[in-house]
Amino acid sequence: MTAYIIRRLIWMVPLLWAVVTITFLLMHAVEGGPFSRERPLPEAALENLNRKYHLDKPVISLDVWDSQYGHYMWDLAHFDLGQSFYVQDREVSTLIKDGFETSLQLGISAFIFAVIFGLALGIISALNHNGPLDYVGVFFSMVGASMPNFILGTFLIVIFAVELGWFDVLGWGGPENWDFWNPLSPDFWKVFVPMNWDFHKVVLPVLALGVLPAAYFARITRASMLEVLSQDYIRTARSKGLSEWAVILRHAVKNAMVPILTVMGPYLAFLVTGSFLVETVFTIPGVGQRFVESVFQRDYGMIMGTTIFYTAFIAFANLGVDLLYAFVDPRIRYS
Amino acid sequence: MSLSKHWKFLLLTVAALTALFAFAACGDDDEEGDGGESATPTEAPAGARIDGGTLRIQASEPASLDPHFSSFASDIHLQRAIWRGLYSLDGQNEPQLSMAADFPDISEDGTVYTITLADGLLWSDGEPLVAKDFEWGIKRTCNNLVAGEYQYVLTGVVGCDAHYGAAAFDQALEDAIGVKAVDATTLEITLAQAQPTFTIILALWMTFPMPSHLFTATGDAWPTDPALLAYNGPYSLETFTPGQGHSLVPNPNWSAPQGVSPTLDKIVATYIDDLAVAANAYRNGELDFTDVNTQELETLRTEFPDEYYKFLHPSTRGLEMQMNVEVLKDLDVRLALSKAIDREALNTVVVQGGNEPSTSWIPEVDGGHPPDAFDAEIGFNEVEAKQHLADAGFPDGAGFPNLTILVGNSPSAVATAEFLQDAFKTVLNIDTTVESVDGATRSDRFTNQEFELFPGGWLHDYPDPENWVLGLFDTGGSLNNYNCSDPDIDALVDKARFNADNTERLAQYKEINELISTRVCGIAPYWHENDHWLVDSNVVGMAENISGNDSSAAGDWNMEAWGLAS
Repeated sequence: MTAYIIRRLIWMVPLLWAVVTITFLLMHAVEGGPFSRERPLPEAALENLNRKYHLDKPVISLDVWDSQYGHYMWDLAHFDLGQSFYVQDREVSTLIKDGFETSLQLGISAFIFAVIFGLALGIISALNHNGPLDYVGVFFSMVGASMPNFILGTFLIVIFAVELGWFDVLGWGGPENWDFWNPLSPDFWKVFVPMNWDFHKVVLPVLALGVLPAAYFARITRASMLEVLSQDYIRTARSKGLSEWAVILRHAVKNAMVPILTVMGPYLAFLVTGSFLVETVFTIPGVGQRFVESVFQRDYGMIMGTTIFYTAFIAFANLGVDLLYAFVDPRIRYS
Repeated sequence: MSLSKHWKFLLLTVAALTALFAFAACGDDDEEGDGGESATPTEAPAGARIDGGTLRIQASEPASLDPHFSSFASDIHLQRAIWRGLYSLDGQNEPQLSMAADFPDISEDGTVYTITLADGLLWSDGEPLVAKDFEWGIKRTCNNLVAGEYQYVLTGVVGCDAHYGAAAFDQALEDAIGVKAVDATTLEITLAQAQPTFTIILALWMTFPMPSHLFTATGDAWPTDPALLAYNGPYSLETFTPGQGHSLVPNPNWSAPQGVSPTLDKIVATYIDDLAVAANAYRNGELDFTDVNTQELETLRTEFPDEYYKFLHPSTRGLEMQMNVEVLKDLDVRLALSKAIDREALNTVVVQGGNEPSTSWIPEVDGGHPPDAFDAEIGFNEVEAKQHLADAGFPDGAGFPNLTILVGNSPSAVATAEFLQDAFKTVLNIDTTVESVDGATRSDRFTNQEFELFPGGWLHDYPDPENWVLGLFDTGGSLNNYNCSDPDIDALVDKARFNADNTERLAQYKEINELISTRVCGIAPYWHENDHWLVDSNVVGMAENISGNDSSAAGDWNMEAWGLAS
């Protein structure tokens, strides 16, 4: 297992290199630059800015270390993601860290909601196959999976914030300055204290982001449960006189989890990295919003930094899921 | 609201959304507004001011805190709150004393400005504010390491261009810049030639002081941590969270040169670029002030008739024409295109009547003409438009080349381009192509002069007609990307640029405006823009000056006057 993990980690290096190189070249191939303004800058200003950010050098050249690409790779090798070209005097790593703290809270909250709600709905639907509860579950799954989260978010805001006044429209209510890298810090544990959360600001964005994966989890769970419930070992378990709860929880649900886990990893990564629209609708200062804005602003530093960060995050999330398989299904072994 | 009402509302909302989706699915994207003009008071709300309170405003995220680097309105909005220059512009755009004790003592030839600072000035951290801080502020803007985007405004200061244009930092060049602190309270600035607008420039952000006691050189990095800076404006920056917002608290050492000090305890700004979100937050009572999206204008004007305000934005938009394109060199063609544009209809269709249709390039408040001044020469006239095109050799559009209208990808930009395309087809029987690209691509192509027709315009940096002309319409001007080249305009610019007789100078710029507008020299103006704001009824003091002044909130050039009423 350890060798497998090490091998996977080593494979991430060429993966990251390929992603960095392709993104770097594509980014520079697109028209416009970080200092393209509706009111064009005077030539002297542009020259100074280009010099300041090494944009006066060729994107790539035979003398690779005297090119923008060479400069970037050298800095990256020293774990330096550079500066934002748009948010002046800010390190990309600081902007990502600050934004990711919020995106992670939002993504994980939505994931937890989606898992609990989706699994429960899927299981209830399967256990009431073709019954009224099954139809309710299927209806929710259909609606939830087909409604874009920014539409749902706006819908929720208009009803529950503007009209009913139950929740806020702006911002995120998770604890600030969460030290998510360091479990030894007291600031790491603050997210587990309900008093630190402002639920007036949390509920709507979590719902907006979590409904789609919840609907998807519900559909997969229902299908998987229906398949498992028809297996011989379930009949055997029942014939042995086990209680229905024991049959469902110990034999059916556990065995139905493998296909669900397959999609959970990528979905967790998606929820943490793909919350841009929800962040925009609720004005949440997450890293997703920064990433999309950076593309339009041609903020080369942020484009590269967030791409590298997302790539690494998704690679680690997939590795985590692969390891979880072995935990859930003892037949799976890595060597 | 009772429970049954909740359900009724829910059902109505569901029905409305269903209808919306159904229409969207049918592909009907016709978004014509009625353009009706509601009552729009231009005075700020009045009431009994209270001491204290927190004002919550919508804002855009500043890209930089550094006033000597900044170029965005969102940056300047914040910087005006926390720093001030030697002078300040009042509601009529007249320079007033700020950190200076008196107006400049100007040498006979108009090139040397001697300015004395007011007594007892302090930074927010208690350190004295001295002439050296202003010297460093100007030198920082001229510093090529800082690469400030508004250095060009200081091009008249001796040595500023040479230092800024150098390939590397050179201390000798910085020392040669024509600004020096004679003593702690006296500043001397030397210009290459007389510049009648220079006192106005001393009110602008690129001449704000630099707290020299916190830095070792003018080119040092500008901190982003509010605690590492010092302030001389009415407020201090308490917090600054990128992507989220900032908060301001009164500066205890604000000198209140005009006798106005903040009454608020705090201003909290939330960065919201999606104005539909801001409108919902305003409805929900989470904001006291927000900018308004023109696409929601009619809805919000109706919903908040007593809280909606319209102010002039110092900006003119028009159809820019690349005069290197053979067919657009012909004045008759340019006049035909200009006269084919029904500016009233454009304003109604695209921005719900939110702007001010105009045929004058320079707004009247900045020394130009009234908006309808040149209606007879370049305004909507179908018959004359057809005749001009025929005179140019294209009767009924026959043989006219297909030109491309390059436009950004915002809904209003695309709607503008499609309106123009339809007008040219209907009136002139000529085909045009609309190419919609993202903002950076559009700007890049404009800078590289890779366009034929381009809806664009100008937002002034300071309230003087020269800012609407210099570099923009003189032959070879650095911002003259449409290649307007008119010997009459050039001759007048030469006369006006350094004319110390202000009355004559302003008359010359007025004449230039007439030439630009009537000869469609690179642009056919179609409107002056307006700002649209929602201001809660308990807010006082958000009074805008006559030309808006590049602001992003009502009256943000005089933020110390903002307050709350009981």
